[in-house]
Amino acid sequence: MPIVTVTQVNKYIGSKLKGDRILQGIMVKGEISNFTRHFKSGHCYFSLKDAESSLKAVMFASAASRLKFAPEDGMSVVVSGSISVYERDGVYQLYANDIIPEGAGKASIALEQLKKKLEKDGIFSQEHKRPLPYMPKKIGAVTSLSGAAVRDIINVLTRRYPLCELYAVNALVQGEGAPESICRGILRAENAGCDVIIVGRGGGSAEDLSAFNTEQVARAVYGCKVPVISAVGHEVDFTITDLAADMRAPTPSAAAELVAPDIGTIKNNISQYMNRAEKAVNTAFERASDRYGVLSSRLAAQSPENKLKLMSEKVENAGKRLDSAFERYTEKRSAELSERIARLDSLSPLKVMSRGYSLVYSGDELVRSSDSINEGDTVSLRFDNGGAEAKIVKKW
Amino acid sequence: MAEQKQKLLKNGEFMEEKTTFEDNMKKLSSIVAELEKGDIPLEKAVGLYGEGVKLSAVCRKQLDEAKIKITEDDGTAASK
Repeated sequence: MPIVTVTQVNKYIGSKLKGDRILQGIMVKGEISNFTRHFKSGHCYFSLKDAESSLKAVMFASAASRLKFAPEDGMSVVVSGSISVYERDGVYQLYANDIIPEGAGKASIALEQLKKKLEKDGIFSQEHKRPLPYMPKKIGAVTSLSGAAVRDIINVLTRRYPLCELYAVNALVQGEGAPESICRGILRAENAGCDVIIVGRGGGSAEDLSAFNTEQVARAVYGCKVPVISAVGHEVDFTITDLAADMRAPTPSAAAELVAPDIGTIKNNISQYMNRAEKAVNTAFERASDRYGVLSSRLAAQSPENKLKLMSEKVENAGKRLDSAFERYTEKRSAELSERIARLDSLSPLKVMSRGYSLVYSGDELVRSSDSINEGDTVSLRFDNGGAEAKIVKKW
Repeated sequence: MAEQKQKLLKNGEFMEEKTTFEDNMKKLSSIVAELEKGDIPLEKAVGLYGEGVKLSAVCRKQLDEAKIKITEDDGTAASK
């Protein structure tokens, strides 16, 4: 029988395990105990145990960083990975790739399936989402009346929108019977004549919010006759109720702010209305006074005084024209007269004779030619300043 | 208190007081829309404006006096 070393034994067993198909891809169900995370490397060490037995396990930092939850002692989980030997200590252990919390895993799969189903039924459809009333008269709140949610809603509405009536229906928001209680609350708020309903609760763990992830509540929200605002206090994931609601608010306070306008905004609206009304009336005044102005000047144009004034102006004008015409006429005539006088004056025979000419008359006839006188005739001569008798001595 | 108020106010104003804030706001909005149509006679415009001023005062009063009314329903008693 050959003698072998410890290392050889551990290596040999290690290789045996590595060759086993079952051990290299295994899922082990158990409860976590002695969970520790190495502060420097980030590797996680723990044991998986059930009622009778225990199995050492390790999860390296790279795999551990992919986990969506923090493993804790006492958790029932399913670990997937492989089993190998840790040669230094001569122990075999489970090298974990993934850890699935047993209960939660099932629940999240069921939730996804429910979402798909409701989506197919149109419960989340955008077309079904109704607009919220701008100024609701009666606001329903379905939540626990002993919780913070209802106090937050009352505080916000008292400050921002005290015009409304708040109809607060008590409902169990977690634990057994919560979905039924919420559905009943929605119905009661609807029957009480609310014109919008807030359904919700303050924040809580995923389990606390489970009532808002039920088909029952989603269908009650969808089927409500008035718009519903979901206000489940959580920021990360949408609950099914959020998806079915007409509006989603991250918290009950936010829902109370979304459900109605602020009183200051409403007062501004009133002021704006009055500004617009004033402007419109001023325009009407201006238009009316413009019309009045046009008409009154047209009317004034038709008055007897105005007519008289127009007539007298015409008469005055005519008189002026007459005067000036006459003046022009007389001026023209007197100019003509003096011209004629001047011409007459220049043609006067006396004027000619003053230059040395004289006229010869035979009897009363002016002698114009030597033919009309004979030698020996007596003629009279006229000068400028007198006359004389003369005898024709010779003709030529 | 409410009784006294009814007596103090004239009939017309009392009627306005009784209409809800939302209805008054709606009426105010429709008055403004009517005024802004533009081609209405001056007398009617003045009348509408007067009505609007009255309504806005009523609305402001309603806002200032508004007090939230809270009804609690324990969720178990028989629905009315």
